[in-house]
Amino acid sequence: MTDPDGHGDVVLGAPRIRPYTTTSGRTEPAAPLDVASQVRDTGRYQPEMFPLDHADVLTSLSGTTISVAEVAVCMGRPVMVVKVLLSDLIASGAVATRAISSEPHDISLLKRLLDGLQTL
Amino acid sequence: MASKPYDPFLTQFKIVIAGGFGAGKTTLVGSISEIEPLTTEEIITAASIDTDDLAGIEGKTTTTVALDFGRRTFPHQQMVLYLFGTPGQERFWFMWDDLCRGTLGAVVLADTRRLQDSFGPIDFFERRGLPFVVAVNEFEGAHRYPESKLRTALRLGAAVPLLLCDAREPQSVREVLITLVKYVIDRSAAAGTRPSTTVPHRSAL
Repeated sequence: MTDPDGHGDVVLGAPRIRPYTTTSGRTEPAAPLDVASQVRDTGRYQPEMFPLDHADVLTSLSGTTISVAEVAVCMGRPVMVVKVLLSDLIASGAVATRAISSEPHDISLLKRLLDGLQTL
Repeated sequence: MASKPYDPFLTQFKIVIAGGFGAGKTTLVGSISEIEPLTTEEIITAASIDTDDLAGIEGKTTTTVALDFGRRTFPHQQMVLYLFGTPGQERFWFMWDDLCRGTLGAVVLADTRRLQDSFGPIDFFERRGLPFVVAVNEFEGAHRYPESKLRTALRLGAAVPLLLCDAREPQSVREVLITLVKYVIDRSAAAGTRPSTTVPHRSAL
């Protein structure tokens, strides 16, 4: 839960449901996913073929490419829970991703980003 | 199921915006983001979290931390930039490791009225060799200090860019991000490897 006035960075207190209930207690995703990783529905499976929470994730993608963080916002669930659910969907082929590389960024890519910023 | 047209995967970048409570992180993100800044939450599992609310509670505990973020797409470059504003409190630094993985660099947003709030983030990024710039958010009514004084107070290495900004102004925020990206390019070009950093004893202040 985030606090309604949006001023606090931290909100303590019991969540309405225990956060990892929907992930069967798993606290780490099977696939390496970053909060900024982009994900999309592969269109190979219907949401109703999955358990409710997974189906909700798939529905929230609805044919667009968005980040893990944005899925978490759509779902109203913590990022780590969404990562676990997404990793299941990736494993089953329902979701595709391109993860952020942990390698140092390529200079030519950085220069392209710089061009983009300079034309804003 | 019929195949649908999909958006391509854009090349993605991530920048972390760090700073103390009230330094203007969310304002800065909102100035450059094409979407209203969104707030999501992350679960923190820790052996002990030093807050009054949890004092005396033994063992592992979980809590959630709000994470603000924004997005800017560059269609011509086929790139997308995500900006994440992080909780500034020291006790959440362990979350930063996760957030900083794969990050292009960081902006430490400083408030001259509470300069000490920037020490923690600066220490953190220095120790991990993550490139960062310091942007001093010029709040109305806050005292203006010359750059040399700010550098001394922050014990900032000569190479680390320091600039003044107005987090409410898109052009000002754009300048901060340009400074960061240029700095990262220069560092990568000059070194090939990350330069070793000496860590001053900022906490001794």
